[in-house]
Amino acid sequence: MMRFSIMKMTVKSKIVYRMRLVMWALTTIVWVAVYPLVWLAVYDGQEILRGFSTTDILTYFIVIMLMDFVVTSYADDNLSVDVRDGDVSNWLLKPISTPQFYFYYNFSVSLPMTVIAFIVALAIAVFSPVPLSYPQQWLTLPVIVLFMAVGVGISFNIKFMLGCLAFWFEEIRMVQYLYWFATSLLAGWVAPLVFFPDWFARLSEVLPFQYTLYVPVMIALEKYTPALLLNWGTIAACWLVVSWIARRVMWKRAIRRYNAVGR
Amino acid sequence: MNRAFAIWSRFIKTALIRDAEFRGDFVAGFAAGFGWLVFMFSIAEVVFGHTNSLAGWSKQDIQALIFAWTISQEMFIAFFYYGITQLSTLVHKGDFDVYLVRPFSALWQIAVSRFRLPACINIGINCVLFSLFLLTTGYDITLSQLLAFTALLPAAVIARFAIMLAMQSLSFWFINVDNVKVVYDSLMEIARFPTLVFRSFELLLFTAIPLAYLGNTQTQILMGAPLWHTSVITYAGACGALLVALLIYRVGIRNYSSASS
Repeated sequence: MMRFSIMKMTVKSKIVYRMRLVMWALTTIVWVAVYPLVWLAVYDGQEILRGFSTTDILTYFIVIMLMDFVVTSYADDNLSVDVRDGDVSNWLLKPISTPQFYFYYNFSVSLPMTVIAFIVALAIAVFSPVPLSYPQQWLTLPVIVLFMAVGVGISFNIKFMLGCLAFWFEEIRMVQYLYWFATSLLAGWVAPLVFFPDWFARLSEVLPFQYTLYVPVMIALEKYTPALLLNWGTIAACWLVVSWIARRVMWKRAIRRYNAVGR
Repeated sequence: MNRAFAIWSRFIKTALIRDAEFRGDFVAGFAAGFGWLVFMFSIAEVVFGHTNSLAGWSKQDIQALIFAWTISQEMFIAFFYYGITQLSTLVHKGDFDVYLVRPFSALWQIAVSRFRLPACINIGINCVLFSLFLLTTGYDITLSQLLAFTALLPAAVIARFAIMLAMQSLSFWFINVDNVKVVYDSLMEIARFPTLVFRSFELLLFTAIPLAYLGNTQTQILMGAPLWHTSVITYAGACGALLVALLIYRVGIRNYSSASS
């Protein structure tokens, strides 16, 4: 009930500013437009590029945009600001664990944006001159949901750990930038990882980033085999467990360092 | 005029003291600038792994565009970005009053209030890297093209300022639009590629959303576009955008009623 209340209050506080939502819609449209148009220019008459048709590439970027809103956490932003301003004290006193609070808060922040992104995606699906591809097998949907849930967990754990760095360092922007650059490339934001050189694709397989976005999108496009799915599932589950343990250890150490004054 | 520069120089001194105090922030600004460059070059490498030209632009043209975009971006960050992006928050919280009652242009005070030294260092580094790029890749350009390219970089800063000012001015009509920065960042994604890639709305990029002047027209000079014609279009477009943005800001100020309590 408490978790539901946090989510309800967060959503309410976010939808009260309508123009902010319009801004998010604009951002979404630009995001969805840029890279598909760049890649369509690269195709320049070719039917297929590394197994991706023009239909696949447009669908890829729409799905990755939708998934990004659901999966990608911004816990690092919230936590680092709260640590710096001393507001984290408020959450430490609440009858819910602080990481849990940040999880539900972040998840609900993305809900209104996901709805906007979904409307934008729907409009593109209807009006786009290039047709989109849709899943053909019934199994795809539950597998997407499962991998997205794992992605949500990995993304939150890593971002929360980034936020925890604020307990040690006054400024964590540099780490955030590095993380953003890494995820944009390694999670498949700018292009499907099969478009990258082979060594890069192999490197991304052992890192956690592709399991937050790229893998769920590839599943949505039904570009998987049972063996590949098993391989992805095993590595993703390992990263979920490792990041969960690391996040708990880091939070315990961080909270030991924290002291608040006043209020 | 002297007073405007006196205010500016005072803000620069304050910023230098701040940079000396918050070294982490200084390193972050420096790393972010360099990171952007590496990031954009990586994207260019991936794209040109599959094609020889992007909308008629070669890999070297795109790399020159990346330098034009990055240098003008760092120029904007160094002098105006962090200042002008405060506008929406100042209006939202009512702190804009403080600037309005001072006996000087509120816009100028806000715009130049956050000088960033790391961005200046990044400009220097990017210029050195750009020179190395020109020397090592044999990118065939004349001295007059290089001079025109350099002379057009301030136009990119003007266009960036105009876009940001117009977007920030929305805060005079709408409450809490501090996420316009995100819209600005996403628009910048467009400016990093040739305008021809976005063929269906290319005209918009030269008029209503003047993103073509943030690096595209400068690079076109290096690619052999007519010097005077391109230069006039770039400055006219950027200055026109600035005038429109100033008009929006002025109308906005007339709408402004203090939000402070």
